Amino acid sequence: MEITLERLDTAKRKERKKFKSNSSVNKSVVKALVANAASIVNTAPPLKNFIADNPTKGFEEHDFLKATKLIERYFKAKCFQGREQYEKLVADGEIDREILNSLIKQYEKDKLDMPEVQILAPAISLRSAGDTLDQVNNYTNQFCAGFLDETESIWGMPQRDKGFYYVWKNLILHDPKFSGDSKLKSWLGSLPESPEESLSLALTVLGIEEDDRLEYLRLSLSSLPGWASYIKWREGHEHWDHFKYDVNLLEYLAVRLHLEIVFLKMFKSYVPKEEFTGIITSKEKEGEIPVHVYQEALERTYQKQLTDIIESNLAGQTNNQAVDKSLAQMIFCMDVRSEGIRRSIESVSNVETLGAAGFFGLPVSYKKYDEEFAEDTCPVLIKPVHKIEEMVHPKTLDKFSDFQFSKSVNDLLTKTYKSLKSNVGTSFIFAEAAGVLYMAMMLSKTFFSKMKVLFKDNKDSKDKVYFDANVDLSASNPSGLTLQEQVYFSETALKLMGLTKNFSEFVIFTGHGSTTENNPYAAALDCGACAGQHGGDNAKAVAKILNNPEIRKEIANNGIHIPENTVFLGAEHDTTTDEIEIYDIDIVDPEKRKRIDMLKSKLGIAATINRESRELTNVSAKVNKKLHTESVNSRELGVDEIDHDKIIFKSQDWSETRPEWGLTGNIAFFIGARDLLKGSDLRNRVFMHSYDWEGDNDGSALETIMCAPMVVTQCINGQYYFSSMDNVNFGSGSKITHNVVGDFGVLQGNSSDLQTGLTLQSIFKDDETLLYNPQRLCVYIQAPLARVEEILEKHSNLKNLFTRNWLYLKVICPIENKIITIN
Amino acid sequence: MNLGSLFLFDTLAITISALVAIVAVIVVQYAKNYLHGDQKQGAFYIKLGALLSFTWLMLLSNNILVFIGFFFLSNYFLSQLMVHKKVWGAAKEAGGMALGYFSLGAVALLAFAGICYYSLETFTITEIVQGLGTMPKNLSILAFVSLLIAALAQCSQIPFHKWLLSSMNSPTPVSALMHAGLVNGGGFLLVRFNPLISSDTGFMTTVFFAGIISAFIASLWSFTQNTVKAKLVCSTISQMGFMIAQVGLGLFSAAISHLCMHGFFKAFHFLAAGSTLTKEYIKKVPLSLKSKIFRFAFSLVTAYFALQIFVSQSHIALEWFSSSSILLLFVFMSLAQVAYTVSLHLRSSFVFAMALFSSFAVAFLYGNMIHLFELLLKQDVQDYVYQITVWQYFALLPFVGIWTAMNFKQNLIEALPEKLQFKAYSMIHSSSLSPVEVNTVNRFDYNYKEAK
Amino acid sequence: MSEFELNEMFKLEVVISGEDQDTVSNMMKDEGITGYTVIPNISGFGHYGHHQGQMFFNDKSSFVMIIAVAPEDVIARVAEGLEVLFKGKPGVLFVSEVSVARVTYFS
Repeated sequence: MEITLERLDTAKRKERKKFKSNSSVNKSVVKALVANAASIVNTAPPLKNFIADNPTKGFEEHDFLKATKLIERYFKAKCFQGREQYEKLVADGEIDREILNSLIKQYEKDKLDMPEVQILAPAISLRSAGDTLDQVNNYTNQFCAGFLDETESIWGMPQRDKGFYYVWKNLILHDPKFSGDSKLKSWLGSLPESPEESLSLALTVLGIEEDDRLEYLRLSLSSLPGWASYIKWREGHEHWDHFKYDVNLLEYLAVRLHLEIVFLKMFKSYVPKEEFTGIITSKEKEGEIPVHVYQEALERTYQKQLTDIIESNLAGQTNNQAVDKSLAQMIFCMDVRSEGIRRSIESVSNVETLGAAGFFGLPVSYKKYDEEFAEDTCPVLIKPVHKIEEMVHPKTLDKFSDFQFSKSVNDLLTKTYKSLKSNVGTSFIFAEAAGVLYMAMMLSKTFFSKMKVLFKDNKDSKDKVYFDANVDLSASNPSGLTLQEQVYFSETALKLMGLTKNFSEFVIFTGHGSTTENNPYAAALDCGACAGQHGGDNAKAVAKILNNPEIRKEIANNGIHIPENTVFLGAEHDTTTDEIEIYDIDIVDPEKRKRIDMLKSKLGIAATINRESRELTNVSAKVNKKLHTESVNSRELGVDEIDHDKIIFKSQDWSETRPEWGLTGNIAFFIGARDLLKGSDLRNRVFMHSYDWEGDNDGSALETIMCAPMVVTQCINGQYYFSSMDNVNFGSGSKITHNVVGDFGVLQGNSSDLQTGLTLQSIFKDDETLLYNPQRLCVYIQAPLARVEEILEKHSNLKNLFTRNWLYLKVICPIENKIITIN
Repeated sequence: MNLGSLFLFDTLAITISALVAIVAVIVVQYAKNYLHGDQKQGAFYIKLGALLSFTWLMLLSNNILVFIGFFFLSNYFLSQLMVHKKVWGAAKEAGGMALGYFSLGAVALLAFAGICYYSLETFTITEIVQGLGTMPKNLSILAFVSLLIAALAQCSQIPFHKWLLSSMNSPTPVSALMHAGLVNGGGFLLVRFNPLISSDTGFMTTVFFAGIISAFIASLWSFTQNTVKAKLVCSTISQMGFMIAQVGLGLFSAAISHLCMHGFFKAFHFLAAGSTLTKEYIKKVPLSLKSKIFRFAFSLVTAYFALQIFVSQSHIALEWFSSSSILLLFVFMSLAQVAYTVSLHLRSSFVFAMALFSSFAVAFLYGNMIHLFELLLKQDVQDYVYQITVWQYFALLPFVGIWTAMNFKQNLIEALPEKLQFKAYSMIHSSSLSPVEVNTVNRFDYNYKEAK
Repeated sequence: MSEFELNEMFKLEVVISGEDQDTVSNMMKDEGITGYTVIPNISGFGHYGHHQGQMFFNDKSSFVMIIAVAPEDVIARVAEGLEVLFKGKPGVLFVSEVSVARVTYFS
């Protein structure tokens, strides 16, 4: 075989190294520019898939303090509380004076060493300002709402399959507001078809120098961060079956910049503002303690409380671990709300509780029987490749026809209602004819809604029909899981939380979800590990997998022996009412049934205890101010009888804006054995993941926990932190003036930027008072220090979170038997 | 002057007072939790109390100057409730804009009162109502125009619609109360002074067209809206248009019935405006055009018989070129729609029986309700059915046309050439948008916290 | 003994963060590159410190390598774009001359 190859001489090669592109606009360059600029905003999902994520993720490449300066600059946002608030916290004792003083000393020392933090400010400002910028933003707000809505309007924007930019170009051409402007029209007509070329052209027309372009695009995106971050999310979910039309930031920017041109011409108010402010320095007033020192003092105060609790348990820990065998093992989501219910259950029954990521290791999407699309039920960090479909349980097959009938009647009513309401000729008579019904519904929802609401209630018949998870790969479910995959995922799940021996008779995977009424933000109260879905379905699925004898055999081969007597069950914890539903339809053995019924009654008592404990948060400000070594007694706080019906009713009340507190107040992530925190009342403020350092010889389980759950807790913490510090810029503001747009988001009032982040009511007790003072998360890991360090060395992205002070780390080293503070 | 001449307790006033009372009770209870923790919850209840008291006093007062005073006061407090928090610039602007339109209405009413006094020498409403028919022509035209302007501004009818399109910065309970309450004021005005309108068929026709134009255009607006509340707002403008058109047809009791029932309908939808994300998924059943046409024809026949039931229950005469026939045509479309939707959805053999039954049932219930209102208002408000011209029928063409077309093709617009699509959408949608000053343009322009 | 011809092309190898994969593959597709190879979850050591490849339950923080071959002008445009991308994102880029069979596959 002979190979002919034309060799280049060296001279020719050198020449080639200098690439030259011949087309005037290099599309790749524009794309890269936009991709870089996009890091200024994080993604924001549609409300139905609400996931708490740090809105300032793009700034994590900086040290926290420097990042806050940049954030303040770009978004005109607040990253800390006001000095007066902090001073009040010191006076109240919520910030420890000693800790504060030592931090002040440290700060003054550092100040001498490092003169000033220098931060490059945006070197350029937007061309439009004042009224012009208002016009640009107003148009953007209204146009984005129109383009992105695919469900609310009956007559949507035309030709959206041709792209955001195309539609804009054509709509503005016919906009009556610009009809007189022939110059504008001819100019619009001359715009290039490709958004890349158009964006590049716009930058040139606006006179943005090559070096400033990135910055200019960043500023353009930060002007309306809500739309930008939602579009960024949509861009990452191209061709998602929930949406018909795709959209991306490049086209968004092209439109935005052209709008600036349009309105600048119109108002002739183009005054280049003073540019190049150059370097800003974080100068604190002489003699004043900067707020970030207070913030750190607050965080360290709480860390000390938690450390003290763990230390006392560490000291008291004896080797007589062999407690009598527990009635059941219940695995809860690591969500902070599990802390309370776990504490309550342990206080009334002999149940061992564990914590794990609430998707229980199944990277799947789940298709409910009566829903159009499958929803991802795993953390956003994972792209699920498998799908679980719901099927009717054979035992309830007989009730299925009833269910279908009531569903079809319900569908018919809905359809008739819709067709009458939304047609020109019929909406008038419909409103009139149905008025009395609406009056009745309003009265019943307002005054009698503790009784079941009259209409739209096929829930009962649905309860009778039980839907089971179909996990297996089959012809009808080509995205199901193979046996090997089932073994792999379920085994990993058990190993991660260290549940590899001493199985109880019942092992119950308990997912969680909330029940609320008339609440666009319902998904924000659901399971974050399940991407804003309820966790019960995954629990059901993983239990089913582990009950399969074939799988148990395979797992036993790998060293995990599950006794034959052990039954796995799925369950769901309703975080609004604290009721726990166990999916126990398959239990037939009368002995087992007796014991499971006993467990259920215990859980009922635990629910009562936890409701009381949670309600204390609302009625006593004192209880929120620290972590408690023991369960808080409501009598001692002088709290009277707690009305349980009232709490449960919150899940049904259409006027309730604070049905529960979600993950508000999260301050720490604990990875380790339950014993170290048992008995103490942490006020639902700590994420807890079970981990058995002795059973994890190679550290792979810890590595996974740190790479995934820990990253997730940091995202959640970032969301709560920034939404609390500045609810206008990083939150959604007050619910009372919310206006749902499309089926994906919320606006404030008539028209605004898309509201992203948590609502005022989900973190504030009232307009002025935060329920908890936001804090950065502290991670506690119970493992040998060397193991933790080794993992951090391997993953620079994790290490950076600590070295850049976005997270705190404390290692509970069992070898040295003490707690080591890393930062 | 005795109390009897100061207050007027007739069935019209009492009916509308009752509507306001029912919605008020619900809103008061709703806001207890909904506004919990809000800085302005206390102020909200105070303003709400003032608004309600003045509304009731307005409805019951028998002196036109007192009436206008309370009319303005209740509107003033409504605009204050709309603002809720002054720190939010957009809300403040929107409240100011509403107050502007309300003031225009009040001024028009003052002019109306002046003309009445000039001609009839009384401020007492009962006496004005009696004397309106005897006013000289030129004065009655002036009086009519000022009354109409006041009514249209209050009902947010084109061209006085901007304030309602900008009203979504209000807290949800305020919107609920507004759409079930003061927005109806225009209907009340027209019905209260109906002898003036019925003194001339020209007036009647004007009122009819003023209403039906808003009814149609706002319907189109509502199609292009992408937010829940904007859709409800456009729907209110359109429903109020229909109510005013009913007045223009001389069907005063039907108009009052519409006003009350729509109030409940709209208040409910506002209070439940957070529920839209929990839509249920309904599988679509594809059908061939042929079978659609067949079912549609069947529905028309069904609706014809159902209409007979409606006529027999409601006592509204079915007669061509009588003004009531317009209302009956709308009823006919709705009855046909019920039958059509049912026949499309059901797959089993008793489709047609079900369709027939539901259409008849609706006709029966609705007919009785209309009749009930007529009986209720009989002693104070008499309908005035008159002969209409063919032009009024022409006004219905767009409704009938779009109604039929929508039942056959979901995406009607997509059949048009692209350029026309853009043009039509742009024209309709951009005229329904709230102006920049009442919008929250920058993220940080929104504010919920008032400095102490 | 058969004889066949190899043609000169340019090869681009780029290591980027997993979250930028779509951006880069879009660039390539739009420039007319008809195919590329993605190696997911790669490990290594460099400017940003160590990076571990496989991370269980976290697809986002991984690094990927994309390999593409195309005529010079195409590679040039993509490379120029990547230069810009690297101003704000981690990554490295290698361009080399290669000889390919089945030339029609690459243009």
